Amino acid sequence: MRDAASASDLDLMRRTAAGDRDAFETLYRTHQATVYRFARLMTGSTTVAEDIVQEVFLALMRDASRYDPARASLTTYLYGSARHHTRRRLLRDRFLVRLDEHADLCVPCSSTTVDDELIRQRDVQHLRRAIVRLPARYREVIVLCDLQDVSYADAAQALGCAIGTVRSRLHRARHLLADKIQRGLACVDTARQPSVRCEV
Amino acid sequence: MSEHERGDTRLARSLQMLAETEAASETPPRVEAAIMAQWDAAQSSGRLRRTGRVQTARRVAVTTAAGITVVGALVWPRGTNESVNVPVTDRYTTVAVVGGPLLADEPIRVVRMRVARSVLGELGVPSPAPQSSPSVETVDIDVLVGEDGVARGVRVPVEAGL
Repeated sequence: MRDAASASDLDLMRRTAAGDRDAFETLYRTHQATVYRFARLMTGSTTVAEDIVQEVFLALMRDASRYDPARASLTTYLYGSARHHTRRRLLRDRFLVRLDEHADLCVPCSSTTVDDELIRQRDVQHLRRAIVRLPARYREVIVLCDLQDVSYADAAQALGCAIGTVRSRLHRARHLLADKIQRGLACVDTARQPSVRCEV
Repeated sequence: MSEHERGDTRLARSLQMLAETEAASETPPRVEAAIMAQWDAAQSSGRLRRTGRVQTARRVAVTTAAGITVVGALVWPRGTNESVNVPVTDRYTTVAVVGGPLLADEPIRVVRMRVARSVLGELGVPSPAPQSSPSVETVDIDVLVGEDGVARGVRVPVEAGL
C-alpha cells in the first residue's frame, strides 16, 4: 500500500516537474493536511500554519525536479520541508506575541454532551499549550510520532537524526509534557497567562 | 497506580484526543487557491522567459548576421560602383611593381581596377592604343595583392597593354 502510494507520488512529482498542473494539484490535495497539521501543532497558530503550507508547496513546486525518491518518501520530504519552514518562521516571529490564539484553535463540537465537549476541549487546550511550550526538538517528535503516527524511522529521516535520538527525545518530551500538565503550567487561564510563545 | 503512571495515562489519553481533534483539520480552500494561482503565475512567467529566450536568440542571430554583412562589406575588396563589362581574356602580361616576387604558394587577392591608360605609362608599362577601339582612354587591369596587403604586381591584358 505504502509502495503504491510512493509510486504514485513519484509519478506525480515527475509530472509536476514537467509542468503538469493537475499533478501538482493532486499532490497538494493528498499531502496538504499532513503539512498543515504538523505546522499547526508546531506553531499553535492556524494562520501561521496556512502560511507554512503555502511555503512548503511553493518550494515543492520550484524544486520538484530535485526531489530524490531514493533519499526519502515524499511525505518524509514534506515533513522535513515543513520543519525547516516552521523553524524559520518561529525564529522570525520569536519576538511577537499572539493575541488571538484561543479563538484560533477552537474546534467544532463533536461530542454527545456539552459537558463531555467542554472537558475534552479543556484537556485538548491544555495539551496544545503544553506542546507549544516544549523546546522545538521535543515538540517535533511528539507531533510526528504521537500525533501524526509517523514511524520512528521516518521521523528520524525527517528530522535528520538517528532513530535512537528520536526515541530518547520522545521519552524526554513525554516526561516534560506529563510534568507540565500535572503541574498545571499549561493553564488556559488568560488572566494569568495571556499569551503563548513557541519555544524555538 | 502511582502518580507517575496516572500522569502517563492522562497524557496518553490527552494525546489521543488531540490527535483525533486534529485528524479532521485541513487547510481552507483559499490556501489551495493561492497556491494554484502561484503555480499559474510561475508557469506563465516560465513561458514568458522561454519566449524571451527565443526572442533574445533571434536578436543575437539578426545582430550577428548584420555584423557579418557590415564587416564583409568593409573587408571585401571593392570594385568600381559602376557596372562594368570586363572583357574576359586569358592572355595577360604581368609587371611586378613592388616587393619581392610572388612565391609559388603565396595567397594573393586579385583586385580588378579600371585606370586611365596613361597610368600604365607612369608604371612603365607600354600602352599602345588598342586595336579594337582606339578611342578608349581607360583600361581594366588586375592588381595582385599579397597577404600583407601590399601590391605585388599588375596584370594587364595583352590586348590593352603589350
